Amino acid sequence: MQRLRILHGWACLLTAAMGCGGIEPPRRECTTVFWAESEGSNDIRVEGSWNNWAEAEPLERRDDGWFLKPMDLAPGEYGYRLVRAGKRERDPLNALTTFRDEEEVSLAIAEDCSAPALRIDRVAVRDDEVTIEGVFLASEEGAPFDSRSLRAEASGVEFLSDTASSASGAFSVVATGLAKGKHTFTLTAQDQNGKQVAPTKAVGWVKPAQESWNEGILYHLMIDRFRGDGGSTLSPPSTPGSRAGGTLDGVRAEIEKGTFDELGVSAIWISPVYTNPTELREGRDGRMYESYHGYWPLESRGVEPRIGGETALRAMIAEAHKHGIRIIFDIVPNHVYEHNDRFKTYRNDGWFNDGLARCVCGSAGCGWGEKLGTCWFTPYMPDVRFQHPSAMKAQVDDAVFWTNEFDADGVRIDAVPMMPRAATRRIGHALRKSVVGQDAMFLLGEVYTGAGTGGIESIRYYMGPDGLNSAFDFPLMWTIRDVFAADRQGFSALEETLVLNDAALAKSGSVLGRMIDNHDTSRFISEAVGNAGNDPWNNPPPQPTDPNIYARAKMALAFVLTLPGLPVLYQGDELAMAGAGDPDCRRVMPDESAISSLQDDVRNVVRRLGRLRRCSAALRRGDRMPIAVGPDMYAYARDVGDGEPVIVMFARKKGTLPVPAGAVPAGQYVDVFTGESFGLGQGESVELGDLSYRVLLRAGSVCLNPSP
Amino acid sequence: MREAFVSTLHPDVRDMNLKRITSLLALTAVLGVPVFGAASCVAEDLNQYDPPNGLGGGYNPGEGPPPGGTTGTGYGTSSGDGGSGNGPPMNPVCDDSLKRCAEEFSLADTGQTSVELRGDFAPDGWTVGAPMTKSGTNWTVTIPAPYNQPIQYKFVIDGNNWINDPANPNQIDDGFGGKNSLFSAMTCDPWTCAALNDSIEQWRDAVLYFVLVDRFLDGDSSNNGSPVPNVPPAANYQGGDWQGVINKIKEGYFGKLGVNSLWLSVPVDNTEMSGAGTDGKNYSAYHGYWPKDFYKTEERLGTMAKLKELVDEAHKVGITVLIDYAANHAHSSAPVYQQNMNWFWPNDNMSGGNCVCGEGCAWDGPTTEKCWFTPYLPDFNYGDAAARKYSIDNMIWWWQQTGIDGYRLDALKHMNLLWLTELRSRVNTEIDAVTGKHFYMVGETYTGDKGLIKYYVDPVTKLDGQFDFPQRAEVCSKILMRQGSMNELEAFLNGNDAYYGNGIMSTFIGNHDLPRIIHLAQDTPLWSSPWDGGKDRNWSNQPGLPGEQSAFERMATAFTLLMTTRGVPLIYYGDEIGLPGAGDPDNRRFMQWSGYSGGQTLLRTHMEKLGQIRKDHVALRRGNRSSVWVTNDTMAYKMVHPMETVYVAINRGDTQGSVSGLPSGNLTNLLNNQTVTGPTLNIPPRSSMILTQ
Repeated sequence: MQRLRILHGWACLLTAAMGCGGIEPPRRECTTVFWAESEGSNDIRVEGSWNNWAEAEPLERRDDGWFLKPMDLAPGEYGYRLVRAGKRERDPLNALTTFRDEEEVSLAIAEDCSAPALRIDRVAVRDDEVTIEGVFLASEEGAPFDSRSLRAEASGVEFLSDTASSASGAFSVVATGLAKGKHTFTLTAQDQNGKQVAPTKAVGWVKPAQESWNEGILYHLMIDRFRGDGGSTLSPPSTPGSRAGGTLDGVRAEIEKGTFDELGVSAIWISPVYTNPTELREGRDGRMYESYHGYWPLESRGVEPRIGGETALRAMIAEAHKHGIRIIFDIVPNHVYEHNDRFKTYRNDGWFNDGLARCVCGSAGCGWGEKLGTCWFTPYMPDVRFQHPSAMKAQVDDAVFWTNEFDADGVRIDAVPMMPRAATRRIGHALRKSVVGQDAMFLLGEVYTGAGTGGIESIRYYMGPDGLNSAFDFPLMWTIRDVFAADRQGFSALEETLVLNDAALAKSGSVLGRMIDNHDTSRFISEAVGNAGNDPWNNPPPQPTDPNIYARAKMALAFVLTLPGLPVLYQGDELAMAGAGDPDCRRVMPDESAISSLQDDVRNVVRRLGRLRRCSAALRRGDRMPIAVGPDMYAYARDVGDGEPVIVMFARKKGTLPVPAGAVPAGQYVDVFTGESFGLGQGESVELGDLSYRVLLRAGSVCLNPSP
Repeated sequence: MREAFVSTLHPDVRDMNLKRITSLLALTAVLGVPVFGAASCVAEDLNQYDPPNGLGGGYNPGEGPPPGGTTGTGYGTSSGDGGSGNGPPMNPVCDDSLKRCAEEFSLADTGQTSVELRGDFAPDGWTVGAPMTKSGTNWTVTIPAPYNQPIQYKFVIDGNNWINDPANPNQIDDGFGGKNSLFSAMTCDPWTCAALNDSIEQWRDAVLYFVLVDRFLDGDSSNNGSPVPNVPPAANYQGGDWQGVINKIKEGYFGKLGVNSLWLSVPVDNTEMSGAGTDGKNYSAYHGYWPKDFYKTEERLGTMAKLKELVDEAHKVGITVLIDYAANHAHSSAPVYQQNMNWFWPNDNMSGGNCVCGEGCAWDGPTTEKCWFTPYLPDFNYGDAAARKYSIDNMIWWWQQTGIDGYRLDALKHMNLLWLTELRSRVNTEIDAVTGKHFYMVGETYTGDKGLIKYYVDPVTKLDGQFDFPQRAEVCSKILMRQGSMNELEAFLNGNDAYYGNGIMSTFIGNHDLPRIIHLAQDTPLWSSPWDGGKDRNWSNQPGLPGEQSAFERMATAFTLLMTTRGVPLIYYGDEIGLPGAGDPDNRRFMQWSGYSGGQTLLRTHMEKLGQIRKDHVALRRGNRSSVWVTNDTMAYKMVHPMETVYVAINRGDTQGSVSGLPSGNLTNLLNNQTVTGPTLNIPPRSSMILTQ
């Protein structure tokens, strides 16, 4: 299936010039064309929901070998299947799917071409100037472009078109003198009969913290556990399952203060902002919990008043964008809270995995593996049945609503494997369609896995150009904890995991999020102490006082911050905060005065490497080449070929690390942290102490003293 | 300008990033123009359309999620948030996390009295451990070690000296400045699956009936003896005996109720003395909890030969027998106490007072295991290996004498856990290995704390299950007392069904420590909390049999739930006829054998039907429950088993209610063999239906 938007008009325009009739403007064309390759059969048909799956209609063979069938369908979404020599199949050329009862079938979206449209082809940013280029497409039967009508509005400022042609439909808008930050332009226009286009969005970033997602650093925070209004310090919640009182204004204040800039953070993933219920509910561990975390969507489109509501959300996002920092929403399409209107209204319409099939994940007969797609997290969390086309559409539209309404820059999707892949692909398709601009939208999925090949195989299933842009590298996280925290494996395990995971995702264009812990796992530092398994409620592990334990945290952070991919800092990682499993791993951020010097040292390492990552092209996008891999020593280089490689070294035990001749460009190198100098490249070696690491730059590199 | 214009050729352009656009522009420039140069304005011309350019850019993520791929390592404990949390096990055969490898650990014998293996090989491996046995010159133990996971461990010598394995140089920081021995991750083939074997699973078919023997039926008046002096009748012997139980077995009374397992009150010889209760009244040992001679039967109940006859008669008709065993203490007159006072904790709190629970010592905290229930019940110290051996030897002996099938055990938190784990270990090797069956041990921990109850549950190393007090409170509160809503009951059950893992819990609503349950089912319940002990009316103002039939209907409805869900349902003698009574001892009135009211007959008839239905339908015993429907007063669920699916609908309300979500079409209500039509049913007030398609 292929949507055709302009071809017809353009073809006629060309041929018109050759004598086909009057001049025709570029026009929307909403014919739906189904395509297939022969694959040894000349009998290829298509059947679909447009006529309730009545008799399949044949595709016609074209001279170049393609089979195709153009159809004029009323605007809407349709399920369809190809029938190849009598055998039904999904369209192998179309990633989008829907469901016909329980069967996954291909999805055709027939657009409404009764109004004109703007198509944006290019958004270019140079210094403080943003250029938007595109074409006005007349409606199917409508009048040409009213070239004076084009407007581009951003933050209350209106820009007129720089060029605009009613004959060709082409236009450009140039906005200059823009401040640092994000600029979202809403473009409108009309045809010569006054018929309006649907407003269309284009995004340009001026001096962002990082140009692209995979060169940045993502910071994950739980709003309730971060900061109170004005950035005030929070008291610990009355129980680990209670609300602590953090707000969006607390996040805003910390952005304003430069907290994230100092860490080199380029994007913030905030915990879900849906309005959640006020009542206590029993968690999976039998304890009582408040909805402090936001993962119980009571209102699918409402902002939680207890964290400040819409106003605070907009103010926080505006502040982030001013700092060149992107904001990722945490969306929870998999389920709703039991009092959500959507459940109340549609529970009997097949929108939820309710009724006879209903069961709670992990209960008897309802294994996570066996019922992953349909089981309920808890008895009060109805699981959306994406097999129902309307339920699917509602959840997809929600995602677009949130990013569009609040000008967010991407989404972290909760519980990806608990939904059919069709859901994340549909969300991805809709979000990418909703806004144009380089790295304007980002999809990061939570595919929670264990270590090893099984884990990365699960992840790769959801990745790729038609799927998610990113997923968390859980397999690597477990290995990091084994190697750096617990000495359970040698460094070769890290190298193996990196090679394996990167190979699994080759050509996917995806980037893996790399972290040492997260809000669902015990804290790295407590894993290093060996008390991460303590009862999160009754025996929370104390903040350690042994410098050797902090040395392990610094090593692990130095590792993720110097790897290719997207380092993810979970709030408190920079302070090596202690914590057993969920919910103890969600302690409130401490007051500045309560931070020990050992913790401050960790934060200084993160800040230094955050700044270095911002400065060094090698760290952002260079290849990674192992130099030495042993059980207790490890070294690799990052190099983008600009003569400024970065060399990273780790040792669990004091020793001498050999750097073979030719492994790095010959010359003098300087340790970013100690200032020590080393001549390398001709077979030298470097001394490393117990639980130590080094990050080396070329002597004289501008990144040795990068500006903050 | 030209570039932007040409790019409009490509319908897909908006979905692509800029890099892709660049390459496509080049392609279009080459291909596009000749194609269109030949095009006409006729819409039907197929050549005007541009073919798709494939999916994925050379990346094929596959058509289905890989099986077994998302097995987590068990770190996450998702607590109702959105994180996927615990890795879901996916392997249909046996998940890696359930696989076990038999690994032997050994330590050279240098004269240790006891050696125990402790470590992270089991969730409670650091607190419970595995006792090692001496074989030749070594202490050894073989444990089911987690598959492909390293194990940190230590040996505990003589109960308090923790050492590392001298034969294993591989060590790891223990997080407290010391080291643990580290056993490297091992895989094995064949492995065993930690899932239960069938002989354990068969206990899911049991329906248990508690016979408080002295209060059940007097089958032999010659053993009655005279009442214990100065003890009121309610706390004195009343003549019931094992012959009475045998008579009822032979009569088929239990079989009719669907009961196939009996729990007999303590058979051990008890003191003839009286003792003061905490309420100041004098009591006799009619209940059996004041053991004197552990190697004799209580003569008022019968001889050992009679008890053996009871077990044999029961076995003949397919009924198993559990006996109540009071292991926590002996009576102060017991020879074992007189001769081995060092096996008992002193009745001394070391601060000038006694160590009676609730007096000189606390029931909970550091003195939980040490305190004496009363000043005349010396408390065993099972930290002492000799005391443990005495007790466990005696328990094995009772099995040898009678051929019983299991024990009911209480006061577990007041005993050293070693007693329980050693008992299970010896039961495994000395009983199960001989009978080829699984010896069922069910415990009683009187608490609403699910975690505490679960702590003692593991059919391989500890108890098979415990009495499910939290569920009892919920069922009583919602169905009998009509508090809150059925939504809450449903939510509770959903979280409770799998909470005890492999454990085979016993579900119940009444027992000998709680006021008779019929009074909670009255139109106005006599007590407002299901946890109320009913002690305000146990000696005076005792309640009589309720007149209203509604109370019996509510009890019938509650029993429907117990008899149609997993677990071993327990019927406390007399509850099948709604026997009245307030708290202990009024809840232990003599069994009523005739003169039933209409309500009592209704209830017993219903119990008999439930018993037969449970017997006939495997889904009710072994199936998995899932909710179908719930409202404030009604609920429906289904029990799914590979053999069949059975639906259950309950209306606790006093008006007709309805449930929906059942299969469409004809359904048979097994309780009255009438046909009803799904998916929506009207359920009369205070009633239930058990339905098949």
